[in-house]
Amino acid sequence: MIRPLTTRGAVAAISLFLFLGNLLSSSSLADEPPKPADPVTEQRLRELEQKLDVLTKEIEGLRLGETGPAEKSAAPAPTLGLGPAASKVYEKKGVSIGGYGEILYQNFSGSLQDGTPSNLTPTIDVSRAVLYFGYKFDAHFVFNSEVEYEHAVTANDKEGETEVEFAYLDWLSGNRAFNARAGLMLIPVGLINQLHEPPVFLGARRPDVETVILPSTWREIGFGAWGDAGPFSYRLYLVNGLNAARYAADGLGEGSQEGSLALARSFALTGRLDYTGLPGVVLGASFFTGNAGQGQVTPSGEALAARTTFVDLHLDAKWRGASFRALWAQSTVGDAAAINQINNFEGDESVGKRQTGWYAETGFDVLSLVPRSRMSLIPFARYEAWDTQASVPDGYSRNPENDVTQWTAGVVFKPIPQVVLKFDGQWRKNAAGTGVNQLNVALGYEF
Amino acid sequence: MRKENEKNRNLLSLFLLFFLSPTLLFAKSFLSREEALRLAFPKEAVVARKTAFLSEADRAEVARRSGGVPPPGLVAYYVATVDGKDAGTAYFDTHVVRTLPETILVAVDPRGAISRIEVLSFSEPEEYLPRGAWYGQFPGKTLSDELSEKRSLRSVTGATITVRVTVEAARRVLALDAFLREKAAKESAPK
Repeated sequence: MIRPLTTRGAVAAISLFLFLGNLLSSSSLADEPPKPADPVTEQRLRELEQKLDVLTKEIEGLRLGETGPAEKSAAPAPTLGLGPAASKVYEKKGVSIGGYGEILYQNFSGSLQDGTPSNLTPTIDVSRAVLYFGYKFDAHFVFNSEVEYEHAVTANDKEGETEVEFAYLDWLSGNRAFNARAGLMLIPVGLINQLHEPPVFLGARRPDVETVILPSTWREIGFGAWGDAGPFSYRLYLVNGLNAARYAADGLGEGSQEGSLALARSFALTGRLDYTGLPGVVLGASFFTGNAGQGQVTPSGEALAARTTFVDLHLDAKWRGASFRALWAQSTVGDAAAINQINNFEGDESVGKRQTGWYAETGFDVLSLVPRSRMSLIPFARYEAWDTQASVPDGYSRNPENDVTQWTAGVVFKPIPQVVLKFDGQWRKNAAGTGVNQLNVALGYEF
Repeated sequence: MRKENEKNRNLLSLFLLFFLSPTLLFAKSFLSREEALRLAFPKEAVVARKTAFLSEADRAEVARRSGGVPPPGLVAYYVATVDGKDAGTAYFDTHVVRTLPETILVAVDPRGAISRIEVLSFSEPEEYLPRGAWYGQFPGKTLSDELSEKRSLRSVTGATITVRVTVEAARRVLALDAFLREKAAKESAPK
């Protein structure tokens, strides 16, 4: 039986190494032919070698994180990874701490698209400061969470918020094909919602399509399954539904209940399927569908169903220093006219029956041409188009301000992979002629 | 309201149908040390465990070659032979990902190219672990400037830290393997 190595044991091991090292070096440095050792010395050397072997094995086991016996006898031979579950001997307990954050400076053009003054003032803001805490209880149960501070200060006279962005428990089956999850979870749509750390995406600001059409950071409470099966990766969750009474003409994002005393009369199914068989490429689709009435009734006394469905198709591809992303998303809202009635929306204030948007983005890390450079310098460009009122109910009109196109171009510099400095310009137009251009500078980090 | 409840029931039924479907026919997450070693070498290989003691100068030399941090002073490695001929060497590298460690096996063939990488433990949430196909990029790779997530290895969005530390580990093992082979050759050379 091999006993765990204590601190005292490690000290003893090091002393033994030094002793043996001295013993061996003194004999090898001496420029004399080796003399045959007497039987007692031979025996002692053999014992020391055995002890040394035991100690090095102990140290190796500790370094590998083994908490149980390293040698497992009678383990059946595995066939291409289909072996007995053995991960339980490799457990490292403790809280995993991480985080990310971004500071954003925005300077707006003095005039709108049609030449009228914009009257917008430059702003600088700690957009997000996020702390991540994870804890692995054992080989099967893992807790994962993010606590986010937005806009630096949470107070009555400030716009800051403190939010639990997600907090869920995973049950890991030991088989990557099937794991279960429950809690406050990120909705698995699009490219940004689940992966939104600043070094991950190009641009000082997240793509607007993934803010306006697909809300981010969108999370709800529920449970579900996730895993990898062959070249595919999937998520499938049952979560609380949106609250349609909070939809607006400029998007559905406010309908997210964020796990805060959420109404739980309507539920939704959400999931995604990604092809990940080609390294560097994610090609997939996602959906979210469910009623959003949450037990509310229309002015005429009918139950509000407000079936809301989101779908998206996405591609993320990286090859050497080049990267390419494209996403198309659409959402549809049932009973939009009834939602308008509940909120007294009139004319072009209507909630859209359909919202749609897409973007494509490309960049190239020029420092990938420099061997072993840890730094990155990525010029990039992105084109986006979206409309939160692609269609509205009969009797209402579309607001042309919600029909937007936007170019973003700039450069991303990463002195190390986890720290990023971004400079870009955004040229925004809308059908009403009130688009406004802006310059952005952002500093981001993750750890 | 009845319709609403009916729809919720339908959603729940659909969901449970998926949950109860047979999905357990795929590869498991992690291997034990013995399992990883069996996968790393041919079935008929004889595997011997060896230990190397590296001086500060040795460690610095390996770090210089890999372009990363030095290996530990005590290195255990596993040498495989088939009919007395070299069939490769396997090393276990434990490194910190975000806060918690990961242990991988890196097997190196006699030519000094990676033949296999296996994950033995990953203490961070598994969402930060790249898919199996990503590790499939390593076999055949040698220690060169191309062995980089910015060059011949494609990165993984969402697992960038794991990708980086794994590539660093692969470079460290290749540099160590070359160093130990050179050292052994020198020691066995006729004087």
